[in-house]
Amino acid sequence: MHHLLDIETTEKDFIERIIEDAESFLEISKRPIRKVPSLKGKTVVLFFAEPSTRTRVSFEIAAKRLSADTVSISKTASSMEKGETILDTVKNLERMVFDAIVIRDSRPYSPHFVAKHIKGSVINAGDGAHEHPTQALLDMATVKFTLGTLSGLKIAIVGDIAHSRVSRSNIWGFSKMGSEVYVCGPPTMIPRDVEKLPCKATFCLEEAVREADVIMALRIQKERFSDPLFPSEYEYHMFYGIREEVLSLARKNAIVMHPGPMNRGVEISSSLADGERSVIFNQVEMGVAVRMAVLFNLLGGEG
Amino acid sequence: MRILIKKALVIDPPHGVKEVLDVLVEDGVIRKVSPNIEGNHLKIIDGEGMWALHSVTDSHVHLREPGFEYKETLKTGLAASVKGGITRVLCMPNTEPPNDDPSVTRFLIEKARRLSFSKLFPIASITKGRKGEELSPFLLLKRTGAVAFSDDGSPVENALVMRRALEYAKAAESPIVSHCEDLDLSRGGSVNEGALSAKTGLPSIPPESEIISVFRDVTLCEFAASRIHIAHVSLARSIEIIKWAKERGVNVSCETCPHYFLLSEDVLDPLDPDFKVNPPIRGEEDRKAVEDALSNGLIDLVASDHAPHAYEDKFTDFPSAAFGISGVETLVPLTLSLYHKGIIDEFRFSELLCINPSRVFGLPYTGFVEGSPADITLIDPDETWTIDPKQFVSKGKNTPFKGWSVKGRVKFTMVDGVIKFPFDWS
Repeated sequence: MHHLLDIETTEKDFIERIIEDAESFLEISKRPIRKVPSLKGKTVVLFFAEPSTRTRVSFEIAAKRLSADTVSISKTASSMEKGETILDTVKNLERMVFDAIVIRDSRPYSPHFVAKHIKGSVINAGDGAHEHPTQALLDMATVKFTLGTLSGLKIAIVGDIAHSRVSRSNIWGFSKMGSEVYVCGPPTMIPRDVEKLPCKATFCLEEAVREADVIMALRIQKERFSDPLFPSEYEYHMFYGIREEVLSLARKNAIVMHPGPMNRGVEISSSLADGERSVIFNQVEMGVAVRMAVLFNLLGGEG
Repeated sequence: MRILIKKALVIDPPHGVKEVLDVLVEDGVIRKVSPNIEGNHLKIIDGEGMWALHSVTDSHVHLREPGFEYKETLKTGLAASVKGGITRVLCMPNTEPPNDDPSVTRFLIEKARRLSFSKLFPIASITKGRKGEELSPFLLLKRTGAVAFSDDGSPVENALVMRRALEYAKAAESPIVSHCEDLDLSRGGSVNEGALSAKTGLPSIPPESEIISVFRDVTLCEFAASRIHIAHVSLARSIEIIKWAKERGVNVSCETCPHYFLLSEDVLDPLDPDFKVNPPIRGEEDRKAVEDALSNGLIDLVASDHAPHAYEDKFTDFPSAAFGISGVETLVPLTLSLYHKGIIDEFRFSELLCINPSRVFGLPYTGFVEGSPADITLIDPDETWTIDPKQFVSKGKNTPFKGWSVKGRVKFTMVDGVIKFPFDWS
């Protein structure tokens, strides 16, 4: 693989390899000297045209732990603010020579569009409501690491499915690995014809979480409040929030996930977010390891 | 100049003619139509194996001038039209300034007359500035040469304004052309809402945006006892509503475009904004319904919705790209594909591109009779060729049909007895 653009077109083998490699990279982060020379001399550009803390820092740390040089730019600090197109910006950067560019953009398929026109590797770090492949990889790695398997599980993804790139990547990912994905949310947040994707959809939270192995709460995107997707945060919490009563319907060893950033008391109760079944902060830790594995595999570093 | 077309298949449904005939053209008009015409000092066109059509019309074209000459000009757009076999072009008012004033209408007509390619019939705006508030001066515009009224891609949102427009248009004896779209539902969207948007996360336009608006406009039209033409119908349910309205006696007509009967979202490439068009490419069931309605007559005519764009308007990601397909040069062969598939016959083809556009927009269709203006298109229905936008005369190279092999090619286009295509640049 040269690019990582989406999970839809990613082979199961590659997913398995990333998860496997991530487990060994996880160990590097625990060493006193958290650095290996695998990608020495390689340059990774982090191009975030949308706000991000977790993903950008996670990629930067991952690249640095592999000894790659990193350059980080944001939309507001780039010439895109002056009207330059994303492709022209990237082509300019390409002449300064990089090996991989990590792109986050609000427009679906803009990393694919860039990938068609440049030589370096393109890694999609979230393109609008389309996909967020490294998030799905780290979610799958976290589940594998915690529950020991990725097949035969019931995965419930709850929240604003329509506007979520995390949900799309996870629908493809978990279903490829042999698990069953339920998406759940109020009808305003379930995309039309979503069942054409490998998932089942329900507006009933109980149905989604009953006997589930994994419950993943998605962030309520407050910036979308001009579109009346639901009446109030309180009502949302009572009917679609992940609470103790909800978790009690799931399997005994079920885990609770959230891609962050969390709205505590809305899509997830604080007690669950901080509770013993929560792997939310393990996800962040796994994020660095998975991104190391992705960079390592795409840039062909020597172990 | 005297031109004799030998042995072409003359297709002229109102006169019941579909036979191989000779056509003699002199002084801009048809002099004689008969099985065998002899004569001296004539330019002779061998029409064997070709179809001869009269008044091929594209009733939905964006020529971009004035204001957006970087996308298209009257010259490039009308030259492209004759290359596409089109002798009559109706152009939309979404220019800058918009065609909401007789001075703009006059500019368009006079410039087109000087250019002398296809004949131009402007469609003026419904409201001043296409803002959906005050009515444009329909009667002055009509007297200057406007043939219909439309706010095109900025549909009149206020139902009262639309009601008044439909009422007032009766005095101008002209149809209102409605681009049916509920902007609240469609805002920001770039593909059809359904399986494709579920998969890609691309912002979507729901079918209901069109359906609701079609229903509103035919209802207002019935109540106003006026005349409405629904532009670029793309959905089975829009067709059902139009059928229902026609059965009630509402004076409604409608058009579709080749991309709605040839493409469905299954073939849409989200990396190629040449597929981005408004209304969006729909699902396969809708594509089939449009095809059926072309065969059974529920859809009156085919237009290209020619929407040329500059490279930089299209060479970007899907959501950022402009809507539209450059279509005048492919309208005839793409519509002819319906004939080759056995969906329509020769007469229906002429109805879709010649007769019904004339009827809907109040233009005469005189056909192949003595004294009729010689606006004749000759098509080789069997020639196979590949659509290559680089060969387009239009400035707009944006077409999802690039690389398509099509059957049927325009060989000659004659306007008022003068051969306009093939071009004679000398």
